[in-house]
Amino acid sequence: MQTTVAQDAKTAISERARKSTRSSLLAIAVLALVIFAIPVFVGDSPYLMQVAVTTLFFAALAQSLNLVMGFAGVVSFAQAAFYGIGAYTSALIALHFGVGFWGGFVAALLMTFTLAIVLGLPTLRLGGPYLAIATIGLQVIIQSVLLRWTSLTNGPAGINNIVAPTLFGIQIRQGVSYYLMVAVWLLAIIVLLYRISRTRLGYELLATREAEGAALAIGVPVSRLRIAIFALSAALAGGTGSLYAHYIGSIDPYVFDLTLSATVLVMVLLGGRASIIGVTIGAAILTLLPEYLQAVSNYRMVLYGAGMVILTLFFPKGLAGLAILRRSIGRGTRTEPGGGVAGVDA
Amino acid sequence: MSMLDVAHLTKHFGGVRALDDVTFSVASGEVVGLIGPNGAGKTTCFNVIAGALKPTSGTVKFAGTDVTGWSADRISRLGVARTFQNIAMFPELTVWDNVYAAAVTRMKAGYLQCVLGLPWARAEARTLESVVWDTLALVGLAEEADTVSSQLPYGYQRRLEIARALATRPRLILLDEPVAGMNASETADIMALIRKLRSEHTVLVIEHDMSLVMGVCDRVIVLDNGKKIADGEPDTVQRDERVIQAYLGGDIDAELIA
Repeated sequence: MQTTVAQDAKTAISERARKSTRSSLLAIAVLALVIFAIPVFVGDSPYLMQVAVTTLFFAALAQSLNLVMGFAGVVSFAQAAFYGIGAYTSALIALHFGVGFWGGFVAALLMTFTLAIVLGLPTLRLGGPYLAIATIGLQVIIQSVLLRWTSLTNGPAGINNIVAPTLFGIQIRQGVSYYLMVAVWLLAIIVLLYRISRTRLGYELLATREAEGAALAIGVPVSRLRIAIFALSAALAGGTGSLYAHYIGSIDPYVFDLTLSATVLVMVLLGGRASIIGVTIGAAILTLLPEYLQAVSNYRMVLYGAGMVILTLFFPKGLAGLAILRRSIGRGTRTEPGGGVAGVDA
Repeated sequence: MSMLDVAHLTKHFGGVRALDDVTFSVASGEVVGLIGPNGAGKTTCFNVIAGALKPTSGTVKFAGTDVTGWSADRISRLGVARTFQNIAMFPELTVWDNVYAAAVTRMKAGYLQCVLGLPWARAEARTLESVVWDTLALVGLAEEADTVSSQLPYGYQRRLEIARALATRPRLILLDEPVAGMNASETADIMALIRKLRSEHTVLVIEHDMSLVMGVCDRVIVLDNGKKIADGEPDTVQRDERVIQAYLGGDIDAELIA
C-alpha cells in the first residue's frame, strides 16, 4: 500500500518535473524569439533602437546580479561598479594597446573576475546585511577611483572616441547589428544561468542561500563557492560594461553610480530572485517605464526605493511569484518557482 | 574498526567549559547514544566533531584520519553527516530539492562538466534521482516530495533532515535529538529507521527520549557539565550512581532515567 502510493507520487512528480523542464526551455525559446524579433518592429527609428539596446544592457546586468543574489543569496550593491570597471578596462585596453573591441572585451572579463576575487575575499566572509553594506562601500570606492584617478581614467571628462567592434571585418555600429551582438551576449548569459539552475552548481548555490550551516554540513564549500560566483557575476557585469562602452563611444564615471546598482537590484527583486525569465521581464519593465512616463522618470528613485521595500516585504518572489506567471517563468527546478518565502503569495 | 575517536576534547566559550577533556570512541557499525542533562555539552560535542566549531584542545579522528580543525564541508565530504537540533532545512526548496541538493555534493562530475551537460555528468545526475527517491522512501517522505519543506509538519521536517544527511552517503551519521517533539508512534517510526540504518551506517545519536536510547543504542555515553561521566551498555549506565545524580541534581525530569 505504502509503496504503491509512493510509486504514484514518484510517477506524478517525475512527470511534472519533465513538464517543467519542457516549459522552461519553451519559455527561454520564446524569449529568444522575442528578443530577435524586436528589431523588426523597431524599424528604422534610431530612438527606439537605442531604447531596445538599453533594455538589453539592463537585462544582462540584472542577470549578472541575479546569479550572485538570486542563487547565492549575496545581496550586492556593487554591480554598477563592476559594469564600470568592465567599460573602462575595455575602452582603455582597446585605446592603448590597439587590440580593438575583442581584446578589450576579454580584458574586461579577466579584470572584473580578478578584482572581484580580491575584493570578495575579505568582504564575502560577512553575512546578510553587513555584506550588503560592504558592497555599498565597494561601489562608492570604485566609482571614486574612476573619478579621481585622472591620469588613467581622465577623471570626470571620461574617455571618448572608443572604437566600435569589428566582426568578420565589418564594423558593428549603433543600430540593428549592435543590437544583435548584445542580444547574443544576453542569451549566452541566460543559457548559462539556466544550465546552472538545472545542475549541481545551482542546487549547491541555493543551499548556500537558504541555510549556510546546513549547506556546509552536506559538504558544500560555501566560502569558495560564494567567491567564485561573486567573481563570475562580476565578470558578466564587466563583459556587459565592455559592450556598453564600445556601443556608446564615450564613458564617464557618473554613469556607474550607486543609483544604477540600486536600479539593477530592484529589477532582480521585481523579476523574482533566481527566476531567469522573471528578471528579464523585470529589467524590461524598469527600463521602459521611465522612458515612456516622464512623470515616473522624475520620481524614479523614489519609486525604486518604495518598490524595494514593498517587494521585499510583500512580494519576495517578485513577478515569478504571481500565480498566473508561475508555470511559465519559474526558475526551472522542482522548487517553487522563483524562490521567495513559500506561501506568501499562495 | 574504529569509526570515530574523540580524545581529550575540550571546548571553552569564554570562561565556560562546554566540553572538558572528553574521550570516547565509536566502532564501525555501532549505534551509540549521547545523553546528559541540558547544557551538558552534547550539541557542542557534535559541532566540534562535525567541524562547525574548532576545539580548544583535543583531537577528533574519523576512520583513522585526524580531522581536528577541518572545515565542516571537508569533514562532510569525508563521510560524516549530521542533523540539527534546531531544524535547518533549505526552507524555500521542496523536499525533493532538499535531498537532491545533498546528493549532488557527492557527484564525481564537477560544476563545469554538469553545466556543459556532458554525457557522463547527465548520466550521473540521473542515477542520483533514484538515490533521492530511495532515500525519501526510506524515511517515508516520498509522497511529500513536491512539498515546499517549510510547509511540512514538524515531525516530517526531522525526517527530511535525516533524509538529507543520508543522501550524502555517509559512513558516520550524527543525529541531534531526532525525535524531539514527536509522539510515541512517530518515535517508534524513527527507532525503526535507526535500526534499518545500522546495516550500512555508524550512528551517534543525542536524545532525551529514553525509550529510544534504551531501544536502539548498543552503548550510551553520558555527559554532564562538559565531562564524560559514564560510558557503557544502556542497562549498566541506567543504574550508574553518577548518572542518576547528574539527572536528579539538575532540573531535568527525574522520570526520564527511571
